[in-house]
Amino acid sequence: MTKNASLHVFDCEPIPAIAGIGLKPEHFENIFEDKPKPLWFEVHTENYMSDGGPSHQYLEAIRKDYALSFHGVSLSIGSAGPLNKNILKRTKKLIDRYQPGLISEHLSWSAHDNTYFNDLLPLPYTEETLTLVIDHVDETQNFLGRQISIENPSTYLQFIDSKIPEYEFLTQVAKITGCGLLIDVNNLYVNVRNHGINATEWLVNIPAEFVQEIHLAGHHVNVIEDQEILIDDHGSNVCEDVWELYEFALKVFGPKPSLIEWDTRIPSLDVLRLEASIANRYLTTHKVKEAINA
Amino acid sequence: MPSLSHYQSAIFDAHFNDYSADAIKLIVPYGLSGSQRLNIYRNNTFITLTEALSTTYPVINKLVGDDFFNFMAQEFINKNPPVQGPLFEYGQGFANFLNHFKPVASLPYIADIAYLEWAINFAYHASDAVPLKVQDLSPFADNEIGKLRLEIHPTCRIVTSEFPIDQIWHGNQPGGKLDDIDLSHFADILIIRPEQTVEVNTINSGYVCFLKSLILGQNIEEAFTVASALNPQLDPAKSITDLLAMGAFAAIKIE
Repeated sequence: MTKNASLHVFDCEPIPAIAGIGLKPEHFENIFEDKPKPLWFEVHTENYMSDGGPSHQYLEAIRKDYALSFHGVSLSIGSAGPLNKNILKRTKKLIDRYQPGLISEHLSWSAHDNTYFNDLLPLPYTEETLTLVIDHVDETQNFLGRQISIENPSTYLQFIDSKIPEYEFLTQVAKITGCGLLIDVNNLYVNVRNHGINATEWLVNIPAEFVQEIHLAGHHVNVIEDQEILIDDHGSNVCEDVWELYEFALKVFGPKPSLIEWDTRIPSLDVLRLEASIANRYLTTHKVKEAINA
Repeated sequence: MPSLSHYQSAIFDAHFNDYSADAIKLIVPYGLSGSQRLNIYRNNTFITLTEALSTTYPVINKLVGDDFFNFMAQEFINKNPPVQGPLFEYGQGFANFLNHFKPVASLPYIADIAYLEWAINFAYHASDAVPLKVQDLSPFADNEIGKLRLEIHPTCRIVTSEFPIDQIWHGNQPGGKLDDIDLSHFADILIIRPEQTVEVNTINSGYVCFLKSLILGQNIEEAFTVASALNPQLDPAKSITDLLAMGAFAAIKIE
């Protein structure tokens, strides 16, 4: 029989309402040396779907010291066809092993007839899509035996047939399936600038009890033929406008685990820790205000 | 109203079939045109997938340079979009694609380098296993060892080439040198990740034959008979100890 290295057994560790950082292999050594605390990490689930190898060795070492969140990018909840059972099984295997505090996916689609775009594509917000998303979220939660949270996407186009406002669509999915919501404030901001939607109206219409996590990230301002379009590239600091929107989101939702995402042009861990400390400052200020008002 | 599946087919066509007329009809005209908006998504997909190919095929990228690599990647992605979500699993057909890709016909070894890099990628992500050691065979008498069947290490891959792709690959690693490449050298390579690092070992061609026979389920003695018919100089004890030292086996199969 083949001898395997024995695996560490973890208990599920909930994520506190403090700032976390998107985990990048570039920072592994630095994290092991500095052991920055308090902190939690989020990983892209697919990056750890290998059978073995160094990525698991690192993730197991990280998990011993930190709570984790698993953020999927390819389950393609919004695809018209059936969910990919292979991705579901591999997600479950990872969840059972690492026991993350939060599990999330996107309100989007990324696969069509077994072809993967590896991008998060927008959905028309119609009754047909709502029914399908509800079925797929149900199926996912039943299969994983865990609640998942669904994230609002950043988009570069809108569909003529989208009649249900996004906040209403998300709220319906959460109400009917019992899933949580992951509110990406940068995505919301990108959509405000790209499509002229109203951020305040959007945020106040999301019931706070559904919100499990908040995402924060940078974007890139692209200009195509004198028209600005914001690209959600997760490659820079969180901008002032997004911090302001975050502050407002905390007023609406209360303190929530808040993640700094940075996926392209990855800076040193110190830069990410600085961003996390800014988020923590907003969270603390909010908690103090809440205590005074209580 | 078109169905969701119509929506998704239309956007698929705009991405991979160079046909966007149906998708454009579905998009709200606001500022940018539908075609410009679809292009943003298409670019994102191609950038992500090109980066994934570059991560898996760094030596190919280094050999041809970024511009030409991006051009090859575009052609490859159009014909072979991903069929699974995890990016580290994308690009298995790249070597085969390069074999038939006319613009690289002047680099006849390039497809074999791609086979090697895919094998390295495979080994990196394959199941972990503690390699079998020489001591693990010590409980067996000499006449028993020949009857044993060995399980190949789960990360193990064999790549062979009529070109010195092992030398080219090593020469293109950080700090590697490319001055003394012997073009008459055929490469027989055993790729293994015994622990956390993938090892690229140049091996005797007799070992290739020996290992392939073991993989087919023959016992040590049978496999050695086949291998030594083609390579009369092959030393049985040295073959086994060399391969064990590289970590080529995971276990003794229990009959």
